[in-house]
Amino acid sequence: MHETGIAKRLLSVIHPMVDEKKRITRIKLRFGELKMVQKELLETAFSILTRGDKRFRDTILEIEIRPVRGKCNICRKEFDIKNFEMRCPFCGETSIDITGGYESEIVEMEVEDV
Amino acid sequence: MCDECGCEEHKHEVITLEENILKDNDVRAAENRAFFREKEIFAVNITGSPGSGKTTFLEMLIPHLGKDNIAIIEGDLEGDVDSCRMESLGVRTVQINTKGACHLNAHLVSHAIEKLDLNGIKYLFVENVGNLICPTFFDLGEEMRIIISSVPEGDDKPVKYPPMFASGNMLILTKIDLLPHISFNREKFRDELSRINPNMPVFEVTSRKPEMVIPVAEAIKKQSKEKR
Repeated sequence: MHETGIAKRLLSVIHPMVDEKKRITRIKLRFGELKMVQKELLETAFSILTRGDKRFRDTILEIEIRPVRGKCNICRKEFDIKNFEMRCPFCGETSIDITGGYESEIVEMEVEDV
Repeated sequence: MCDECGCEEHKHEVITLEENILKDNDVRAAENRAFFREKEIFAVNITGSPGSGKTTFLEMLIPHLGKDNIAIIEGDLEGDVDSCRMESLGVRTVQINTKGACHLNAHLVSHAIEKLDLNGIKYLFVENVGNLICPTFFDLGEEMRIIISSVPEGDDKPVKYPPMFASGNMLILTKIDLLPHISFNREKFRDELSRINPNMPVFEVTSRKPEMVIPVAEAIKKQSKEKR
């Protein structure tokens, strides 16, 4: 549901960097699982927002989803958190810090001269 | 010749960005948080489904925290129904209309603050747009996030919307007077919550017994003192 907002933000980062003489062939994005980004919805939002803009003709979105990571405050071990099980799998403690899973990054983009 | 695809005419270039797309909101939220701390205002983000009872919960809570200590920001797509309800109780209120956006963000909140007289204010409640998905991902600069979930919504909400329920600092189960009439399994609801957010306190209330909100008010007061 928040994919349109994300696509808008993404374009606001990219727009100032590319003029009409360039075409973006590929954009690599990275999201943490906690951001709950739906790949298809983001692609749809992106394609609607860039419709008619030659700079974004056939641009490929490469989307990487990172797992949720936790660190136990008691045994200090780090682990992947699956199914929102907010508990240390090693010692069972519930005092854990979320150390990953909130990423929303534009990693790189590939442009060509037209 | 192009190095990337071997074609004759195109010149490819890879630009490394490593940039946080949503950083704008995080930066604004941090500014809001710093502002609230400087003014010694305890900011609370209230989230939950449409109709879960967010506004009614605030109406119950206000007398126990003192109406002159409270300021409220109401977030809705359209209309001023909620801000009118708050103003009729004599509470300083500002309404944000998102015009279609399904969540508040830190930027909207920073402008709403400008419209409020914060003199003597100890607590700021921001009632978010009714939605269990998008508000999860937008930090407003709050110290505490309260999630409102009502009995008629069903006991399966934490299972279906785990990011929201994982993000809260307190949960209020509302409309518990309806428990005898609805197949809501309290144990199932609480078990799921303790899996997703094991240390989140849960309070049960109903507007039929307004005094049930007193322990909630006490817990908010305690939290705000700890932050000061």
